[in-house]
Amino acid sequence: MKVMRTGQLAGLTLVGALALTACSGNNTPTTNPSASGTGTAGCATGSLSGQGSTFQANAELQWAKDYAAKCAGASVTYEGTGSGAGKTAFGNGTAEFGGTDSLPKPEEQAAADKRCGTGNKGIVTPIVAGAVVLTYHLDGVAKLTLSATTVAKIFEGTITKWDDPAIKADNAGATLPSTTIVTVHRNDKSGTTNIFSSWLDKNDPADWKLGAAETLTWPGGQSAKGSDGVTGAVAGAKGGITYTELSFAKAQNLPVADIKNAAGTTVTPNATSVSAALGTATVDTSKGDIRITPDYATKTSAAYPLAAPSYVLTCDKGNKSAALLKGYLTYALTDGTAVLDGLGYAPLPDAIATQAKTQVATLS
Amino acid sequence: MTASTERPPPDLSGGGLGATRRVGDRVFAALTTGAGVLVLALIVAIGAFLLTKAIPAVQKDSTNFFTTKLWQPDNDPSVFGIAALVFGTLLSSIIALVVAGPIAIGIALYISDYAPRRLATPIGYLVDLLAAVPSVVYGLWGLLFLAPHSDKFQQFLSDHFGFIPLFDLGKNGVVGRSMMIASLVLAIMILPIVAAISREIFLQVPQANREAALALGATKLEMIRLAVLPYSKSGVVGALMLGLGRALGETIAVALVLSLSYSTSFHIIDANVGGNTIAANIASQYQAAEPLGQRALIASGLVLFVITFAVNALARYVVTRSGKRAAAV
Amino acid sequence: MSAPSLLDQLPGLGDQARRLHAPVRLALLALTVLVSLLLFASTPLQGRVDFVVFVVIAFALVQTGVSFALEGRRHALDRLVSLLVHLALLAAVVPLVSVLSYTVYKGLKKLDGQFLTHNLTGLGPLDTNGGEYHAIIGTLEQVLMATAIAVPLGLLVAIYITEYGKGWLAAAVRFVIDVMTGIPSIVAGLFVFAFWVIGLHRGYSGLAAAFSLTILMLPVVVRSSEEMIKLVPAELREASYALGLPKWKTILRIVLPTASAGITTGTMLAVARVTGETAPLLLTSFITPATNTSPIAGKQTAIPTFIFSQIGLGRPANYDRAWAAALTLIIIVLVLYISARLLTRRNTLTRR
Repeated sequence: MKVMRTGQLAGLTLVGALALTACSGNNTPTTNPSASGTGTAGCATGSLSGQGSTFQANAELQWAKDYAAKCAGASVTYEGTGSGAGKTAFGNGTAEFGGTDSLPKPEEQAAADKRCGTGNKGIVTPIVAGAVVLTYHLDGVAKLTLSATTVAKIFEGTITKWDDPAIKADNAGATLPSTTIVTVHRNDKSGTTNIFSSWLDKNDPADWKLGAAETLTWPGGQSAKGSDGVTGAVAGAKGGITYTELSFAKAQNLPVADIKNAAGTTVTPNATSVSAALGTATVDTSKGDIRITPDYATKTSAAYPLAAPSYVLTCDKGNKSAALLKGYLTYALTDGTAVLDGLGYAPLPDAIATQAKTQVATLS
Repeated sequence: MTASTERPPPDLSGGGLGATRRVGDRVFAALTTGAGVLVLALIVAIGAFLLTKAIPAVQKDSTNFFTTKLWQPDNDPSVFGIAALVFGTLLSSIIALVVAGPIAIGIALYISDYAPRRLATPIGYLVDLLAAVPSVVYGLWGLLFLAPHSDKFQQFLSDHFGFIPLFDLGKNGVVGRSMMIASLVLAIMILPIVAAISREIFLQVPQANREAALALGATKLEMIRLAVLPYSKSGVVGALMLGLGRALGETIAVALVLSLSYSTSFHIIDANVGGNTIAANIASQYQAAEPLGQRALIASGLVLFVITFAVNALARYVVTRSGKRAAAV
Repeated sequence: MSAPSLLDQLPGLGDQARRLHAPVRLALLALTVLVSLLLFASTPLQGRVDFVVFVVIAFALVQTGVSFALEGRRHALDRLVSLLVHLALLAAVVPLVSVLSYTVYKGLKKLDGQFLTHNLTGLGPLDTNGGEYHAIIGTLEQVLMATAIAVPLGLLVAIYITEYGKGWLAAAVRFVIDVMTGIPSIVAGLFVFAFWVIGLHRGYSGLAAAFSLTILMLPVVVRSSEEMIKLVPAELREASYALGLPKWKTILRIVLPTASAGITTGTMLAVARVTGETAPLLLTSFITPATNTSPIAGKQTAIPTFIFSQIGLGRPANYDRAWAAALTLIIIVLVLYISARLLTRRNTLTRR
């Protein structure tokens, strides 16, 4: 049949054409001027794949790009699939490291230990700190201050207009439109939701009835998937407000609200205020790694209370491509901190950062 | 996709002049029978495998799987149920069908009875093109074009027809990525399948019936009511059910367009209320789900499988029967 | 209304009623547009879409009214339904044109050589370059594998149904194939996920995706092949048998080649359908920014999942990538679809 042959021929040509461009299609890494650190110290070759937390995804992507530019022959990929997925992927061996905002639950810890081999165990290392911010879409309002109580009422659905007296009270002298508030929350399981709800739960349990968890039973409001999804939804909805990591709000060019902390001070989320908040966190090293419990009701006046670390989950010993993993994580904790502010993250407080670097140096 | 009259192939199973069946024949017969059995096995395996993963998950559910509206399988204790999902699946599909059904039947009638002869086939192909557009593209279009561009229309419905609960926006309602927009996208997606099957059914009505009606001085509408519809009614019902089956299982377009929630509200234009479907819930929850969460999603998928299987089986039965009747007239 | 009463109203041959001829209807339409324009100019009514909707409703009312007065109830109804039927066609064409044109308009912005030859590795969070090379590879491999499994299997099943199948087994197979056309694609994905990905611990792969696509392709291939095999004239087989060819050779050498154009059409339509599938791929081959040329191991992005994940990222640059990939996907699917239809016209076996 002639027609069939032409069809097959066309198919072959197409396959051939794509095969001719025989390359991986990888983008050539270019050096990022803002990333300091030249030379090839701490470089290792090979490929490394990580996945998990979307909280740290933007930082990981930038580090991966910069590290590849610095170290020829090194390829690191990171996929923001969510903390739960990151821990699972590490546990079943489909990722060399997992990114997570929440500490491993017993069964996740067991899976990680098993993956690392007999005698070894899975450990978490804080890698970056970030702020969960309230970002909004309200034309003509570039500056906004919110207290925990107001935020609780907004997301509980008891405050429904932007010119509500409670919001006005938080923002003396500001002109607020009567636009209806469109709250947007995560519809997937999320460490960000956990941080956000823990903060409200600690600061105003009277108005916040939804508790603190990675998934909540929302009384209403719109929803979207992932940190990108909620910020995208707010960017598309006039009157919208959501909670997300600062880096995602920055990427969308959305304004970010200042928060009244437990000390009564109005604080802008940035590297300084986040580091200040984590400075008051409790650090637990009893499990042979570094586990941080943030104080969401911190009374430090310069602290932005919605601050949390994000971890990488690795093996203490028995890591696949251990040299590259060590090189990459060391880069992230040293030279890599230079890009953080621009992306909307904060470096870890010095004390924690030193502990983290020491721990990474022992990986094998 | 047609419910054709089945013309049995001539049975010459003896084959050839020699009466003995050759080895080649036996091998080939076994091979094809094997393929047939494999298909049967496949459908049984689909049901069985979903069931084996679903049952343990449902047993770990701390609430009633069928009546709970929440979906938090990875919480401790595990809480999940399909009530809101089934509600949303049915609501969105039924709205889609109510919108698409009359339009699709209109298109089918246009092609079978109104279009100029030369145009009928190309227009049929054109409408079929709607089925060729991938669902993720419909989702993208629905999210970034249709939803923002129908704010005014939804607001209009709320302003003038808000007394109907369906279009009630309430005090805090917001138009946008609502159940109605998701349903409209679904409607566009099921339009071609309902139109194509109805068209085939209408075309099977003998031309002589139509001519007889026209000869009596009937207008076109009367001709359709006299000669076409009576013989195709059940076939069209079947086509609508197949469209319903398609809408029930559509995933990506709904997941992208709809603001997902676990509500069971009839306020279809309120994006703050939103909604969810079984399929969209799988697409949105799957990535972050832990092992129990994944199995809970499989359990919900099994429910979807059973619902669509039943709807499709019934639809096929109706279409086939009607096809035979229309052809026998 | 029951049929007999309708029959009684028919006037019989030689109906000499006054008719509303085309020029008159055109004049009515012009008048409606003119009056609507005036109304939109002088009252709070505004907006282009509103105008079109207003004119359509007004014209339907005016035409029905005039027709009722001139031609009577029967013709007025007939004209109204005729108008509605034409509007129904419009209701299908408008979204089609909107989806296609908007995708082309948005997609052209980003769709270039760079986009087609790069993947998404090595990009910072704010980069806007990168492309869908890895997704094209993924789609090609997955769809080719699915076709390679589904077409032979589908042909065998079709041959079984038409040539060998008897009794309850054949009826059951036919029924299952019918019902399989309605299986939601996500359920096919869930099955492969439950059975292959986590059941047999094979993990995500292009092959797993191909399996789920096979489940979706199979019924389409079977049904179209079945139709085509049935259309092969009995005379051809009889001539073959008379020449002493056994049945299996007759099928392979005479029946299938004769039906091949039709079977190819059906296959291409099936390929077009599964190329755009997203849901099952999310569960079976997942998403990765890197190019994975291995069809059997590791995560592999395809064009639909590329679009889905980019939409999820939600920044303008991501939307641009999603639109460009959507345009690629639509081009691939439409080329398959249209060539399949062109092939149908060459097909010598037709029912009507």
